[in-house]
Amino acid sequence: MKATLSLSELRKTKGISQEELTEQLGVARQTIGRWEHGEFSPSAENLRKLSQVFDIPAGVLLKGGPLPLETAEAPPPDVPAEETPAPVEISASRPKHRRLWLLVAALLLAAGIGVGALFLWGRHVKTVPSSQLERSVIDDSMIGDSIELFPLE
Amino acid sequence: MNEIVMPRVTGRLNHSLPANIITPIGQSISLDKGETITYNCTYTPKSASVDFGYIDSDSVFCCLSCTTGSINKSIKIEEPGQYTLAIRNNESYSVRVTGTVRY
Repeated sequence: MKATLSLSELRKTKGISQEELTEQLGVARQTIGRWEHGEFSPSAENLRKLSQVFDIPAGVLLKGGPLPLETAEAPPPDVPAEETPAPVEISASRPKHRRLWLLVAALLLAAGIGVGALFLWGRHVKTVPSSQLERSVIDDSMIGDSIELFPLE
Repeated sequence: MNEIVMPRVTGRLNHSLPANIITPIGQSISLDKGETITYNCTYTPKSASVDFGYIDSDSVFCCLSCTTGSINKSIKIEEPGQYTLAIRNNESYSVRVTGTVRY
């Protein structure tokens, strides 16, 4: 939505020439002329400067609506009201990798402990007292030929 | 005070046990209270029922039953006496046993 301002009327009322306005705003005289003829609208920055020059709020210089987006010159670079440093993107990759390695190391350690425990448990021989054995009276007919143990290799 | 009883003999098993019979192992041996007999064996077929133990001087077969195909257990003697190590095959077919026996 383009700005509509009686710039020439204001300028003349204030007794300011186009040349003086160009000096105060730092724009070309042709630019002032285009504003006055409604060909283009001033940028937000220049609108602010105009409001200072004419001592009129920028909103009054506009006719209905917010500041225009269409301007005669290239839009000024976005300068925030307060220069805030760009957020420093803290590289999370290094701490993330470190956490991943710690997790892998913890899992390997747990797996090693688990394997070791299973190994030791497997080697553990359960001892049963003879009083807890199953018992059955037998006779010779239940007994077969004897076998001999082989020596350990 | 617990005494550590060291096994005197260790031998290897690799025998086929006849069906439905108790197979003695070697001659009878004298064991004291606290001594152990350790069977660390496997057998096939795994599904067979096999009992590992000993025959005491009263002709009583004392054993640990096994139906999983392997055993790794010790029997702690509580009465001194003469014992004959023995294994009983409860199946109607022969079973192959391999492993070690320590006493």
